[in-house]
Amino acid sequence: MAKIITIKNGTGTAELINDSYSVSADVLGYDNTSILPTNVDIISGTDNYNFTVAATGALTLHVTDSGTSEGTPIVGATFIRTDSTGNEYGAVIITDSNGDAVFNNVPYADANAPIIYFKQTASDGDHEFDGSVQNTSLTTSSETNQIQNPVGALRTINLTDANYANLPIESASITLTN
Amino acid sequence: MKGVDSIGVKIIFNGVGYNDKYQVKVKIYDKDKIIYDGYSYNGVVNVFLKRNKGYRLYASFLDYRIWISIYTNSNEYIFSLNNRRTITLFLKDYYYNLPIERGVIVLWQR
Repeated sequence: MAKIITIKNGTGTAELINDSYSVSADVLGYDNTSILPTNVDIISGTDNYNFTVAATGALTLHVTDSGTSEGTPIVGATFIRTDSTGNEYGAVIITDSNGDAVFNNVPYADANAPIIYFKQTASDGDHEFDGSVQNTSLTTSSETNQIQNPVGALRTINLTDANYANLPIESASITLTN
Repeated sequence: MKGVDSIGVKIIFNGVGYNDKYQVKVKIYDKDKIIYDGYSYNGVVNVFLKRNKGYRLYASFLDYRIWISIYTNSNEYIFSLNNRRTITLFLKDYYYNLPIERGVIVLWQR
């Protein structure tokens, strides 16, 4: 007899008796044969059971100063997967010399694909970035999203003599470290 | 335990588990003394018990306590057990430990 448990936001419940069960999954966008464990013993004293499932898609984030495929690549920008509220999951990925960072093992489906949430956690130090939670979905196994990291805005720095009000320093340099 | 006043008793736990038999941890007490501590095999526990004596049988996971008395020549006691409880299943992404927003897990009784 099959017991079908609906999962919502990672959790589902069912009334079950102690017994040995084989496990299958139906998760849109994921490789359903990857469900683990494939067998589970529901035993006395244990009411919580953990399962995992894996996906095979790849999401490439191409980061440039213009947000287009022709822009100047940004090297060293970092991203991480999140849920819709910004909680972080998995490892940070970093853009390479082409400005590409890849989230492997992400879900995809030709319709109603699961939403993939992520956020940028840093750029290269010379470019602005949007640190809010972004989202996308994949309809094919491999897709690329363009991310813009614009050059920092032009700022004017004034340096004057502390003892003579408004007297500009003729020649000097200032170092700002972030 | 086995003696002239003892009989072999077959305790059967019928249910909906493997081969329609519950596999249960069973303890049998003679007053406060444990005289059997083990698991049923294919839903059955065989044990020698003295006649005309009360015992407490405890099938642990059901938290099910009864008295069993050997007052007759019957040596087979059947308990029909069918107790469900709510189980919580967690499904996460294998690589990211990220909760799966929506999906279905199907458990097949073996």
